[in-house]
Amino acid sequence: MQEPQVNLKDPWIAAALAFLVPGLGHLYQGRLFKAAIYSFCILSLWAYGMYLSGGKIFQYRGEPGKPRTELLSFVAQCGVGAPGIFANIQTRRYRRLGEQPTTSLSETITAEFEGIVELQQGDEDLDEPVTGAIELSPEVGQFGDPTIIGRINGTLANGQQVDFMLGEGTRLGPVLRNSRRRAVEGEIVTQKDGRAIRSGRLRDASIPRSFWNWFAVPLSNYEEQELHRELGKYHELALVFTMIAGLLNVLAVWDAFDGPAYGYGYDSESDEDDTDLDRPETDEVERQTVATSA
Amino acid sequence: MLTLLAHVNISWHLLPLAAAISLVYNASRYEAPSRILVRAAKHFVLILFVLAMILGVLFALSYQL
Repeated sequence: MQEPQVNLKDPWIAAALAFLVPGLGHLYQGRLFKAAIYSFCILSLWAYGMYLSGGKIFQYRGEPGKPRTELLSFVAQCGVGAPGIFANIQTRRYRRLGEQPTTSLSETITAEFEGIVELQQGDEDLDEPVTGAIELSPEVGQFGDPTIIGRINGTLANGQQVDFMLGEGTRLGPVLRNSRRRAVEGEIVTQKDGRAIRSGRLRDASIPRSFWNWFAVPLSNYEEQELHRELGKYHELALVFTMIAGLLNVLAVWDAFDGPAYGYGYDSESDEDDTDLDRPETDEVERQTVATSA
Repeated sequence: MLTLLAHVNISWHLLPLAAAISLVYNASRYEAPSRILVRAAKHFVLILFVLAMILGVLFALSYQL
């Protein structure tokens, strides 16, 4: 057995770091060239696959009866490390929270808002996009059940400032969903003689969803079909890029743990076809070893 | 999202993919940077050559179909 010529430091720590972030384990070991190769190649493949799919290719719902092939691709993707751990956490959260819309709140939410307002104003109807801010508050409904009311302060497309009240029964989309926007549904009401009178409704309205609540969240069956329809062959391409990134990181983790697979001897058996130019001189290898160890 | 790639043949994605696979595979096998780069370049060419051969075979088999 050949003596290692690179100081691997603590192999377990190096392997763990290499798993979490490709290249980090080699950076810890002082193998800068390899750290650069691993981080650039693996992270680029993974990031490009995610870019192609709008960040939706990396998720796993894991429902009973679902094809096992999806589990295999997810396991391959998880090789890339920290995002894989995050995706597993999201899958657990998704199973716990489900896809139910939010019909009650524990505290007031204030957020940026965009959507379309449909109003019936006598003979004229208003059907215009509105952007602005929305405030959603918990409320006790007329039958004693918890509900949500809200207020929108926004601007119409023509620049006119508007202020709308949202009545009881306003609903938010699920807490977790693989989408950067969270839907808002509700009726616009006006107060008349102390009573809320319906005067319109929201359409295609949404507020931002936090990164924690959308990234790597499993897709529903419908969302998955929509993703296939939208991406076409790029769906498979994104899947392949992220899977290969994860699988390549397995090689990087093993390299961080145990050194290069062919050892440090540059043995001549496997390199018969190489010229002397790409075979490092023994002195050069020793110099590199000393420099790395130092 | 895909508008920039709409006019690019999907086969061009093979180039960065093959390059990354070659580099990472050889980096996990050798330690010296010069050896990693030379070996990766050879593997890169080999991968493209094999893929081109497969493409040629498939093209021949599907000729006039």
